[in-house]
Amino acid sequence: MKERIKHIGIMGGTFDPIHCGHLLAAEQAREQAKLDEVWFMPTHIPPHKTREGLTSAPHRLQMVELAVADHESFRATDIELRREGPSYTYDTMEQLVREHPDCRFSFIIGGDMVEILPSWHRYEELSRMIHFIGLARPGTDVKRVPGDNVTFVEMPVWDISSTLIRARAAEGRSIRYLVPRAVERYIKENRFYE
Amino acid sequence: MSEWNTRDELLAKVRAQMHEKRYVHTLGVAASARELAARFGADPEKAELAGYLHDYCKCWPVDKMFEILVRHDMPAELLEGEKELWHAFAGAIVVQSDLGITNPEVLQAIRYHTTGRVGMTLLEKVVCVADYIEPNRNFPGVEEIRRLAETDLDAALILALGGTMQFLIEKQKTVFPLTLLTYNDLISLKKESRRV
Repeated sequence: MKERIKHIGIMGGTFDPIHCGHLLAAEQAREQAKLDEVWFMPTHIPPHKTREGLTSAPHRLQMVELAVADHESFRATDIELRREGPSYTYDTMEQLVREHPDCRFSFIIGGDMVEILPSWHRYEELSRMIHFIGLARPGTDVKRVPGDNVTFVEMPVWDISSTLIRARAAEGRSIRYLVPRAVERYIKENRFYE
Repeated sequence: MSEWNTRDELLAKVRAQMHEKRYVHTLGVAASARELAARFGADPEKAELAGYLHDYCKCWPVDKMFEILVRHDMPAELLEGEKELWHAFAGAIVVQSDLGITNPEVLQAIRYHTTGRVGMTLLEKVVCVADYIEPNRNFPGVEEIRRLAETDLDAALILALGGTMQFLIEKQKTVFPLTLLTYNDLISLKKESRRV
């Protein structure tokens, strides 16, 4: 018997570090868009392009794996990290679609980003291949968006960012409840952001 | 948080980010934005503020803007795409952390001042048009945009965006898809309003 097509949401990001805002967003998308799974996909960043350099890819991936370990529908994927150099979403998605014929994919993006979607690399082809889930803050005008390929899900307002977490860690302040416990331990053990 | 209490303190911060010519342009945009806001019914205070801040990052090294965008998990398409877009997106982020600007309308006006977007707010249009017509601007066709901006903000914006795209096409440079979508959006709104 043929298996049912699985609907997968992809959360891309630097995840330096992954935090509770990411997890909250993924969970809202999973529930409201009725996703079977959410895959967290850390982005490859060329090291020469940043001044200080980010936390290395294996560490960012490890933090994601720790963060999703206790959710039965969340997974980490290293697909972008395995590719040579930075990838456009188009290239990654093309690979995902090819490798997983039993799945259909939606890319989860911030509500802000919906408006520049048409500027994305090969957007026309990308939008024929996958769907998008936009995270809308309360009060966002979700009616007027380019194209009809975006499903909006409602997000509670939160104000957690990776920047905030790094700044707090640098000052030696608490990051408990901002990141999952296991991620907090991993950050401390490895003295990231100190 | 915010390290400024008066307009002069804010302007000192802005001035420190850019060279003289850009600063003169900035002041021009703020003044024009205030004027347009008063004319078309947007908030003149917000328009002026967005004018002061719209090019905050414009003269920053690309690497610095890149890092900010990466740190805020902006998608690869923005990072790998047109660098001309970066200063608007980075600017909307940086004025929050550097200057404590939190008003979402002002931040949106900064973010979309280069490209426009589908469904622009009045304030966003005001800042976008002000960027074209401020008194120090001098390019072919600017007078016509200024003239339209006296009575019809949308018409001015349509002409400005159309002119930009035409210019880019003549030079065989890339046109931001978003600018075209904004243009189409404004045109179709115009048609709807004429239909009644």
